[in-house]
Amino acid sequence: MYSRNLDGQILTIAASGWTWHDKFVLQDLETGSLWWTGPDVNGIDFMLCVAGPLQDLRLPRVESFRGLWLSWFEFYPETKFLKSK
Amino acid sequence: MRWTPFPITILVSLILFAGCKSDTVTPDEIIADVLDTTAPTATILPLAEEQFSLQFEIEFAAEDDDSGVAGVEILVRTPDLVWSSLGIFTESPVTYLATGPGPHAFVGVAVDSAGNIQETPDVAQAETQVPEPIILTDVTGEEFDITNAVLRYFLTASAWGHGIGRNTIRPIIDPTWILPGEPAYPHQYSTADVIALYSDDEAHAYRVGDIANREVVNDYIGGAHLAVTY
Repeated sequence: MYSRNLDGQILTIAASGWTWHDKFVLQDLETGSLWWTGPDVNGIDFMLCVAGPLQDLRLPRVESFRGLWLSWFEFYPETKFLKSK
Repeated sequence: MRWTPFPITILVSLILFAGCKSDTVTPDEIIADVLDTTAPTATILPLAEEQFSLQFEIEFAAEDDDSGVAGVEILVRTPDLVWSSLGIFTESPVTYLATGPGPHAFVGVAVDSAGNIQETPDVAQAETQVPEPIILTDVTGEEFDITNAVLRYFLTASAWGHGIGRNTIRPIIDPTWILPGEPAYPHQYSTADVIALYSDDEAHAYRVGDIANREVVNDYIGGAHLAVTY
């Protein structure tokens, strides 16, 4: 999970249709720039613009939970659950 | 290399540009403008010997003793040895998009608020080599310049795949929610694999399988705009 607020410009993030080593390369719909997610050589995770008008800019990772619903629900029973589309 | 005479249109533009001051000119500024007869100076800061893509940033520094720097015109020499103006800038850095690979050179020419113009430097202040672009074409025929991704971030060109088109996998941009107590709400003992976030008294959860189908959920929670992916 990453911020999509680039110094006040709100980006809409989507798949670009490309993969790199079978992992999705993302894009922003505002500029068409390509974004890559994952840790750098220092282990810091962020979303990095690798090509396009916004290249070399970064969006920070936001801490989130990944795990079983039952584990989360125990602490946050008022959670809104994403409706499938 | 010697410079060609400075184009008169640019000179006029620079002087006009210099005259465009704000409405709040102080008496001290007016006096400085009248007394200032010394041209400002600008320098393009050194560039890397080789760039990672056609697009890169040019930084400049400029100073003026009296009336203040009004702007800096950046001139570029492209591989065809032709010099041209990128425009007049008041803030550094400036993003430059080269039209092709090869050696590029840059100089800066400053103008101050009194209309004094720096003599055009007769040697390049910064030089750099622009790489051959690395282009991928997806199934729709759209070309993607991935030079920066390959050269700067080592996303080797041979590992890029699929290229099924920008609009093939549509992201979720207007998420809707199942609330607690609604029939479709997951059972409290469900072992569904989820990503979840709590922020500012609100919690959202996303079934990983749903994200996989659309790849990204563009959400807003707790005052923050987020891209949910994994």
